[in-house]
Amino acid sequence: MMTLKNKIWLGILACVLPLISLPVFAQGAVADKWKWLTFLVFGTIICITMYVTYLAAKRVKTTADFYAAGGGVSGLQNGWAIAGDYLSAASFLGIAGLISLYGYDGFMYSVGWLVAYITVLLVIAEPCRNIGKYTLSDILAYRNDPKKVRIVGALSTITVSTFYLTAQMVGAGVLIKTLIGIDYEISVIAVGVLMLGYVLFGGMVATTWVQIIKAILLVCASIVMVIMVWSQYGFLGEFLNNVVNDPKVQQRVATMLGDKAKNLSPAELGQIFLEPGLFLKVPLDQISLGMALVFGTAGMPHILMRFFTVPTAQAARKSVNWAMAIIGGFYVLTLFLGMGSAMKVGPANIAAIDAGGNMANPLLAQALGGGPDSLMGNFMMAFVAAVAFATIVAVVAGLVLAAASAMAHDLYVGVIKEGHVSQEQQVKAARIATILVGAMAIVIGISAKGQNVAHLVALAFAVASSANFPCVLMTLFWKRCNTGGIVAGMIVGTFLAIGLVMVSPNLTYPLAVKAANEKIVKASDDKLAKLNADLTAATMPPAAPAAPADAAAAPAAAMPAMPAVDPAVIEKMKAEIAKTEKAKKAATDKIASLGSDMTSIMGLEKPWFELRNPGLYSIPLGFLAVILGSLMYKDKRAEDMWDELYVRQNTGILAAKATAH
Amino acid sequence: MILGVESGPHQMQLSAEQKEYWHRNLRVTILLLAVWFVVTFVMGYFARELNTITFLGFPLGFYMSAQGSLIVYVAIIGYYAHYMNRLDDAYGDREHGDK
Repeated sequence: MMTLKNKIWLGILACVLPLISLPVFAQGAVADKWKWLTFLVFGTIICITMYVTYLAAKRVKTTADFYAAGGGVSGLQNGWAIAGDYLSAASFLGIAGLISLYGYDGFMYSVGWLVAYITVLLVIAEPCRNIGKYTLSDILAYRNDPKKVRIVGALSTITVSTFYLTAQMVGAGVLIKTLIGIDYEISVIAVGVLMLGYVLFGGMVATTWVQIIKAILLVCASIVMVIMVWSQYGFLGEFLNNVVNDPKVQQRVATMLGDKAKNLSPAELGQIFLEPGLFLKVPLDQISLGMALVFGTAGMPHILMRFFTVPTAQAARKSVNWAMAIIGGFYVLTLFLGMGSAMKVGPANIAAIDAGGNMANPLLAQALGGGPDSLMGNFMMAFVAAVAFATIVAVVAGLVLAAASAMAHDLYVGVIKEGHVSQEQQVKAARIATILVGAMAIVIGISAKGQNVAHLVALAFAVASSANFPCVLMTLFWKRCNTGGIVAGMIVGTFLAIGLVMVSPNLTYPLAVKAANEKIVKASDDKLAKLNADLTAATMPPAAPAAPADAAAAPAAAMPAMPAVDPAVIEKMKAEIAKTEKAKKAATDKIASLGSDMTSIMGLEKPWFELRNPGLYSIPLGFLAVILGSLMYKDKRAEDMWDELYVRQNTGILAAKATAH
Repeated sequence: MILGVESGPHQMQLSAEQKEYWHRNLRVTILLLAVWFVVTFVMGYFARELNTITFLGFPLGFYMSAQGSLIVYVAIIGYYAHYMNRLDDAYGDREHGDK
């Protein structure tokens, strides 16, 4: 029940959160002059979601309400919520950015994510809904020894969620800092507190509604922007012609190709933007990453949980149907957003603010609205930034709920208390677990400041695909699968995935970093010497000897031949010198910061395992562990239960009853 | 209550109808996964070759990864949902309350 105290807390949260960040902003993509507008838009969106949480909190009375929204989410609503879960900041900001920087290869990412959902629906979602109740372990416990599989299932869920959560928190901190310049620590705390507000008071009901609101905002913002892009650059074929003939795009391709671009016409360069090969270079790594993404998504606990919120199998199908249509439609729009920002803003300008391209959409919004000095431009940018913020909070909320349910429902209720816990106590346990996980997320998020978190995402997907996925799939579709197989699969999959990532190129290897930076220092030195010589030559009177031979490398060098040197050219050369010196200093500092370190955290001088993502090896080995474990373990019950599972997973005869309890 | 604990080791016999339902379910799943595989991996691999064909003013390989494959995915899911709902009706297993 929603007590007065809770109401007051929620009210305070809604008012204070946008304010605490006000005095501490540094440098962001939004100009200081327009910060108030950004916070106004942020505040409005936060207030709307808080109000929804307040309404939802009244409905959360039982465990089923807290974990699965009481099974009362309709197919259409769940479709939007799945789309919300799916359209994380990475896909909203990241993919448009990748498309704006790399053209065709940017799509391979969006398609890669969407591909995963097909396997989720066709193979996993429906049977899981019919068998499970609240968590991943419920599915595994159906025909196996509940205690043992709940322990391994909960550990794997907590592992996956923690890795993914940390990556999201660090991403959130960096992103909000880049967007509006709020301090990293404050950003992380704001995301954490807000997310705790949703989950603690509103459970799955609020989490679902926050996802729905966010997804609708996201789609609306994209549609408006795409219509504006179309009105400027045309539709379909005409649009693409504009992309190919855009000088900024051609320049970008030329920069990336380097020497190879010399013999190509501008039109040919533009065409290359529409072909594969600019971004993805190591095929085996891509296959491995693809496998982890496709199968990992199907093993992600917070995604599986979504299917427990619908009342029937038909509603589960309908929800995926809607989700696919929404997500598919969204990515079709992303094409125009990414290409549009490549033309309107320019790849070089996007990469200048954030090398990963994350600022493509906000910058496009600003440019479409009238540029950095207009009210409309800044309002649109603020809106896109606020939607991105809501996106991060909502995804984090879903992850925290998954980890908290593993702790409270699987470990505390299922294993420690063996199910003898009242409804009130269960909800209380869930809330305590939520606070624990949330606090942990904030602490880890802050302590991981400045760390490279790419390997954490790789880890989350690697564990989900190598441990969770084989176990879920085998218990659903293989009669001989039993407790031994699940325990073996979970343990082998988890440790193998973590182990291989720990010795992969994702970690920092001081020797390699030092070598790379020493190279930068040397290149900078050479460049400085050359620039200084050019500068002296340029500032000398015209009577000086002719310019150096290779005029192409330093365009300014051709200048001395002219009677008077353009002051602007000299300024440009001086700026170039300053930039090179800065790069040299950064590289020197980097070398100094590594000190006498010779090896990575694992004590390795160079990666022992070449792939960034271990999926290619760890997924098959995870399956192998399930098979061997099952064959070596005798479990009559698992086989006896098979026929029951077999009927039930496909028809859901008993599932409605299960969620009603 | 925890699933599995109270369910106990009672056995359930499968009827011929239930087996038939399961086989049809598997068949449609495998068929759709095959379509999914061709569109995703085969067409993705030959994107450069497909780019010589023009579709709606787009090079086909580019179009497929930008829009075409997404449309095919939505169609796959739509067909699956439609087929399975009909199957549920035919075998009388449909749960009611489909919101």
